[in-house]
Amino acid sequence: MKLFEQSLNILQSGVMILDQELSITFINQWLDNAFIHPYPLQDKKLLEVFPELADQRIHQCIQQALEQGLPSILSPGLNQAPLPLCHKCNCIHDNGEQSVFAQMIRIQPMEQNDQRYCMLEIQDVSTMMRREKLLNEQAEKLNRMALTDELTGIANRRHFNGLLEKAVNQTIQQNQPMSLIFFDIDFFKPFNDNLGHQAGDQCLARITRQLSSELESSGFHLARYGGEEFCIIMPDTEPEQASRMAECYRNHVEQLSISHPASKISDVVTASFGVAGFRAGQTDTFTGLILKADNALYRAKTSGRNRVVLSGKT
Amino acid sequence: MKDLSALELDALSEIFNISVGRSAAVLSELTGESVGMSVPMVHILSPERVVDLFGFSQEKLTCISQYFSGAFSGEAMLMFPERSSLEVVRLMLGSQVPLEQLSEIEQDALSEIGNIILNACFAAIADMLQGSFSCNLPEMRVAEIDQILAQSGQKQSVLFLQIQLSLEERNLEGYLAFLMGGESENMLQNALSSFLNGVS
Repeated sequence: MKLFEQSLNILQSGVMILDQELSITFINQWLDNAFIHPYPLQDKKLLEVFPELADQRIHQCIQQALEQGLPSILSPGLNQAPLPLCHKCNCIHDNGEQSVFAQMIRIQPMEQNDQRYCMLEIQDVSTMMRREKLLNEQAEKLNRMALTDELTGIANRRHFNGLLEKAVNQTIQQNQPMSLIFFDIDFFKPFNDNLGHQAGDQCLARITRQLSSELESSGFHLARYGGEEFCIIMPDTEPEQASRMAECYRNHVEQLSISHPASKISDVVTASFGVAGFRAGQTDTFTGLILKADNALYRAKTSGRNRVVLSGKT
Repeated sequence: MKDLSALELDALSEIFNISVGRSAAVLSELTGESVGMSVPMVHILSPERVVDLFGFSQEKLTCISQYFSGAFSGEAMLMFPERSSLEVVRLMLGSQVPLEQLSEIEQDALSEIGNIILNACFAAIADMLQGSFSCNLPEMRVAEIDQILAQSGQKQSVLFLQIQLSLEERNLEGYLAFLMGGESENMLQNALSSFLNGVS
C-alpha cells in the first residue's frame, strides 16, 4: 500500500479522492502544490475551502459521479480552468494576478465498503493549448496567404472562384439576381514598358485601394483575376444596376488621374468594363457567367476602351 | 425478445427527449451558444440493418462511446458524420480553425460533448431500471459504421436514435446507439412495461 501511495505522490499529474461529503480523502503532492491555497488540503472539505466551485460544472460532475456513478470529462476547450491551479514558480504576474493553467480533468466513481467515492485525475495541458494556438495561427495565416493577392491585398483568383461559387449558389437558393463585372486597365503593357513595372504595380495597387473600400461596404467582392484584369462579384444586383455602378467605378479610375503617357485614348489611366447578369432558373451556369462578362469586356475593348458594356445589349 | 410495442417506443423516445433536452441545456450554458436537441424517433434494429441503412454513404463517422456494465451492459455511442462533427465542435468552441481534421483540443471537447449527452441518457435509463450500472470514460474514434459496430462482436440488437441538433441556426443530425448485451434488452423491456403500467 505504501508503495502505491508513494508512486501517486511522485506522479506528475494530479490525483484527488473525494468522499460523499466532498471531503478530500486523498490528494497527491503534485496537486496539493498546484492549488492556489496556503495550507495542505488533506481531509479538508472541497467546497469549504473553495466555495466558488459550488454549482459549477465541476461540482455537478462530482455529484453525478457520487450519486449516479457516472464518469465525466472536463476538456480544456470547453472549460476554462475549472480548478484554481497554477505553476508555483511563475504564476504571479507583474500585476499581482495569478495565472491559472489549462486543465484536462477526468472524474470517475469508485466504491469501497459500500461507500461511494470519486477520483479526480487532473493534467496540466497548458503546453498543448499553447502548441495548438500556434498551429491555428499558422494555419490561418497560410490560409489567408493562399487566398490573397500579394500585390494588392485583395482576393486572388482562387478566392474569386470560391466567392463566385458561393454567390451563385446563394442566388439560386434565394431566387435573386446577381451580376459580375470584369474590368481591365487600358494599355497597361505600354504603361509598364514606358514607366517601368514598379509604376505598374503602384498603379494597380492605387486603383484597387480606391475601389475596394467602396465595394466591400456595399457587400460586393473585388478580386484580381490575373495581370491587369479584375472582377467584381455583386450579389442581389440586377445587371442594369451593376452597369450603372460600373460606370461610377470607371469614372473613379479616371478621376485618380494617374498619368499615362503611352495611352492612345487619354492622358491618364483608364479602364474598360464588361458586365453580365445571372438569374436563378435560367440555363446559365457558373462558367457561362464568366464567359459572358469576359465577352462584354472584350467588346468594351474593341469598341474604343474606357467604357462599360453590358452583356446582351448591343 | 419480442418487439417493442408502439406505446413502448413512444415512451422511450419521450424519455430520451427529456434526457437530450437536459444535456442541451448543459451545453448551452457551457458554450454560451443556444443549443437545441431532440430525438424524433427511436428504433430497435439489428447491427446489420444499421450498417444497411447508414453504410451506403461510406462517409466516416466520428464516434464517442462509453461502455457500461453490470446487470445492464453494453456500449453507448454518439455518432456524427465526420464533417458535421467538425462543425459541431467548432460552433460550440466558437473557433474558426481551417484544419480538415479535429485538433487535440477539439477531440477532447467532442468527447466531453458526447459524455454530457450519453450521461444524461444513462441517468434516465438507470432511473427507469431503478438500479445502477457502472460505466467507463468516453473514447473517441473515427471510422465507418460497419467498423464501429463490428467491434461490438456478439449478436445483439441496437437501440438506435436520431438526434437533431440545432446550433446557431444550423441544423445537424447525429445518431445515438446503444448496443445492448445479454439480458439487457429484456431488462429494458420489462422496465418499460412496468414504467408504463405505473403511469397509467
